[in-house]
Amino acid sequence: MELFGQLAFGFEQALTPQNLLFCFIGALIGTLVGVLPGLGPVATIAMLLPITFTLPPVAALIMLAGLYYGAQYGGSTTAILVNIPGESSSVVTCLDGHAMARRGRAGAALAIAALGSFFAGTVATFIIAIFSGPLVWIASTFQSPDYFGLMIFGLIAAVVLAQGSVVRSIVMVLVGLMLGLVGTDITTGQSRFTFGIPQLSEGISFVALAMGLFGVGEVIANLARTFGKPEVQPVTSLWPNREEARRATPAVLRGTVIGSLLGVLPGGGALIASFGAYVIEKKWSRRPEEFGNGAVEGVAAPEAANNAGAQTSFIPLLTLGLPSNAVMALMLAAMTIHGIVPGPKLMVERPDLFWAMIASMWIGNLMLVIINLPLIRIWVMLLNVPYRWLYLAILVFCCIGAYSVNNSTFDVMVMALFGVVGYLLPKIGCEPAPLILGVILAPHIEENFRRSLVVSRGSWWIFLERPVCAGFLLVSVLFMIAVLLPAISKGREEAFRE
Amino acid sequence: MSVSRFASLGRIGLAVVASALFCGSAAAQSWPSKPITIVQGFPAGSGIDIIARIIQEPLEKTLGTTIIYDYKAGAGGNLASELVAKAAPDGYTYVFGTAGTHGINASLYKKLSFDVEADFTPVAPVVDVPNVLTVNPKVIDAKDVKEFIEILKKQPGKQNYGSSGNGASTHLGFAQFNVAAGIDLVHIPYKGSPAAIQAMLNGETCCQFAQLQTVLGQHKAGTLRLLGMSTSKRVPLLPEIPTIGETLPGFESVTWYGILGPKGVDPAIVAKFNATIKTVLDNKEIVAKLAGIGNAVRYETPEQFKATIKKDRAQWAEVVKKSGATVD
Repeated sequence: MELFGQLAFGFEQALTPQNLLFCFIGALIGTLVGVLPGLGPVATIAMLLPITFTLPPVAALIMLAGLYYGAQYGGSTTAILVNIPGESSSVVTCLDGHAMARRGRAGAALAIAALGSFFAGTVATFIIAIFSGPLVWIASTFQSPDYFGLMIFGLIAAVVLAQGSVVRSIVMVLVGLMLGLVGTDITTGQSRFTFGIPQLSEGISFVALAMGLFGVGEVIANLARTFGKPEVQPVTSLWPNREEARRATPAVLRGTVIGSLLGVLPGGGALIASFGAYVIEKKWSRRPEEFGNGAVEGVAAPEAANNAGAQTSFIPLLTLGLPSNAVMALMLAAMTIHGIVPGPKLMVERPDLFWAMIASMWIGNLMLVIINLPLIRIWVMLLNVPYRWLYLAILVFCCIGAYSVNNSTFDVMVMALFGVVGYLLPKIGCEPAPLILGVILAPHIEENFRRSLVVSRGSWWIFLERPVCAGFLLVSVLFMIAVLLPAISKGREEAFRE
Repeated sequence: MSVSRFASLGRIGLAVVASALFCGSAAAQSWPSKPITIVQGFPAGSGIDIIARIIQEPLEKTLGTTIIYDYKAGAGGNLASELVAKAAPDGYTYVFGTAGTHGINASLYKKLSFDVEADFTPVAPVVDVPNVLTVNPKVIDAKDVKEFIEILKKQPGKQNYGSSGNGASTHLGFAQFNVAAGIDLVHIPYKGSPAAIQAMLNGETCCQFAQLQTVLGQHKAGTLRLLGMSTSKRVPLLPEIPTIGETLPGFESVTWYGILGPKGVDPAIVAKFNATIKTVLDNKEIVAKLAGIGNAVRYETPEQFKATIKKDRAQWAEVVKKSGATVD
């Protein structure tokens, strides 16, 4: 089997001491930010981007990936024990996980969450390995208009599937696209939208922008609200009883399937996966009244789903070069820093990197079970960290990071500015995630758009003549119409409220 | 001003000059004391990167320091050139230049913020890279250069040729070929050779001038066909592939890759770096490795390299004018 050969090759790469170490560091930091409320993986990955400059690319990407799925594990700990989602994708775990904890079944809930996540992670690893090949083959037939269509579809779908107002999200995407076009025109070398500021000639530093928008912005937002002293439920036996295990197993399976599917969609990822799995689990259950009062399925399914979704959202990035959510946009930035172009050529040109990342996901999941279950008491103690010191440390870290990329104080100012923007946007009901997708995709969309028009000798019909591109654009339009229809938009709101 | 005052000023001046000289040579003696950054104007995996990777390890061993490749792709390599032209000439920042970035671009781009000769300190060239006329046989089923020209003469302005970027030698080489063969194809620039070759494979472009090392794999697999070398003689690696000159007498278009620093690098450092590169290029294993992908070693002293850039700049200016190539 070619697949097993490739996976074995990946394990060979991922099991070097250095890569193992960075996989562990990523998983550890991920658990940490997952446990701590108010600090998510997006902010942390943004803050760590400058550090990855000095690391070998494989180690850097393994670490960042580990951080993302590590946060899914850590987030559930806080959700179950304190009833605060440590991370946004564990919001639903609070409902039944915490109810279980109050009944004295905290240990069982934690074990089900961790083992369910591990199972889902293992399946997702194989899904990535199996489906990447065919997707890469399809993607290699894509011409410029097809890429243009794909990226427009990715942006629209991300907007439609994300929470919040669609109109506002589209505005955010457009703002992001404009910010992404600042700098030197890639084909003619002319400066655009730089207002004569020389520091902008290479574009707005993506690292500074992301750190400001997510890192600094979240710190300000957290300072504005107060967390009471957490009331931690005691952890008893870590072993689920027979009844709990019997009910959890099928729920984990369903959660894995739903999470894997929702993860691949543009705009998908851990967050939607966990919500989707919970809603479906509740609808299908023979005991819907138990949900919210400590139903085992209500922990098992979403926890499996968010981990599966976190991992399968790497598929569109690695095979098509299309980031499906903010975390993937940051991963794309990390690859670009190292001169790696994600897309159909990645698997052929850097098989070491591609397969090492996939293998490391499985290794990382195994590490996470070990980090999270026996060491649970250490993580619980972390909830007492004084936030005023933590925030100070984060801000200093952000400033050093933003400065070190180009040794530029201008970038620190850019970060500070976007920190304020990142704080204010949610206040007016706008999400920063679509903005960051716009920023990162703008140069790619422009490049393929302009190239398409050169190929067609200026005719705009090329976007409808290529069936792949036309298909993507058509689906995008249908998505938009669907969302703007009153009946459906109402249903969408209800789905998110649940 | 009294004489003694003048004399003392002179002494201070001498001391400053002397200390500057001393510092300079001291810096050169301890060079390299930290990692050296070499900026590439094209993305990872492009033709230049393949060569850069081959010489990286022996260079590091001889220099006793790490070499970091920094990829700043865009504007035909101009982004990277600009970065290095404005970098501190401390001996730790260089650019991997090409006949494209330091020959063609000077006349192709109207407004460059730097001068390809005055703002750089040439260190040494590394290789001569043959370009090869490559076609996707599924788009244009030509067996040789002659047939290729005949087919294209019948469809002027219809077909596209790709390149690894505006102003790259793969762009201007083909523009030159267009003029010499009397055919008309539209130029489509890509960001680096991997993307350009991908586009040729899926039929967005029919053909291109490719650096030999970037298409060897596809040539062996039979998915792309190599019609003719741009060199004056056949390449020893693939003696069965004729030169374009055999069909169009006098046609030649070769590109070199070489290392340049910003203006004002200490000549002692330049000499030391140049000698190191010479050692690496004398290494039989490296020569064999480069020949294995169709490239020939090209060593020159800094002065010779400077003269090469001057000559190429003038030569390519002529090609740009004749072919009417523009950045689009």
